[in-house]
Amino acid sequence: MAVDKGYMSGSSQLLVLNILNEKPCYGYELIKVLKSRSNDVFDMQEGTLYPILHKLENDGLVNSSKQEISGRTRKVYSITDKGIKALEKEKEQWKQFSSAVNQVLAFGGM
Amino acid sequence: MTKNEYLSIVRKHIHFIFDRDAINEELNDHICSCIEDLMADGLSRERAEELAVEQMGSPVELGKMLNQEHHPFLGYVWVVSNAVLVFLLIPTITLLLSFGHGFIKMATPAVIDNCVEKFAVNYEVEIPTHRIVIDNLCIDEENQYYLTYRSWTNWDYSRAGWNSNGIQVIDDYGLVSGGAGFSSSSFLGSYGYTRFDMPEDGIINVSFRDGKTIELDMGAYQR
Repeated sequence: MAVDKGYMSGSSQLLVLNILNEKPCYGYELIKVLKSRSNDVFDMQEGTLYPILHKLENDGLVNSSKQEISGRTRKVYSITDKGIKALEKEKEQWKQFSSAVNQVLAFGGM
Repeated sequence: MTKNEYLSIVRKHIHFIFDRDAINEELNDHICSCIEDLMADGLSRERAEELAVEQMGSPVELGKMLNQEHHPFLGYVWVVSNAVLVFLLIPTITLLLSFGHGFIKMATPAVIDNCVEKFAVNYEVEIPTHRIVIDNLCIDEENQYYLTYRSWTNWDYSRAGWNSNGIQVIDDYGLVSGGAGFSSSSFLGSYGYTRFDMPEDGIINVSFRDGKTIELDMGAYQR
């Protein structure tokens, strides 16, 4: 089951930073990790990852380096110190948000 | 849609042309990686490309979103400010180096190679455009006579700059005596030396840039 785009866009920055916090990744690699870890729930339109990555880079939360792989140029992203701090903050916010949503849903009678 | 068609549509939406190639390279790497994986799963090259492009989503939407992250305005301000900086830095550095070099060179009198005897003249002349100091009279191994000088360009001289403002010794016929000398000029002025033939009476005429001429008695140094 694919989830609504709205859920993805709100949490995409958190998800991307969390993966980059483990190891540097290039875009396609990130997509594969996202898909496999979410059991294909996060089956996003792959292109939309790049505006997210470029925004993170503009904000200084990640930086990038280039590698030559079989004649192609590959851009590899790594998280910065600023990115690690932002990730911690976003994780905390997400926990608060999801527990609040769960609490409200608990009264829904389902 | 082929990979190249997809990339060219995205490209069109990136208004900041300096980032276009980098974005193109990155998306190209993504689609190529995806095609390779799909072909490894047994798909044909054409089908793999078609599917890989499809998974990317709308090229127009992607192009627009990327364009928002690559602000044309800020991007151009960055490019222009860099260009202006380089444009200003080059003449500034040249000017500073020139001044620095000039100050060092003008601090001490010019030196004659193979100088055997040296006498301090220390004669100072003011002309409208320059202040000139004749430092030394030198005699070299071959008994040739030289005057060394330094000439500072006056700041209020509107055409101040690199100009030949040395001195010359003129003989009785009004011709330059002794032939060529040496001079080096900067914004500050110039320094150098001029060779001359010592007349029998030891009195030489030194001529300046503005046509002014002075007589100096060099008889005491005659050899």
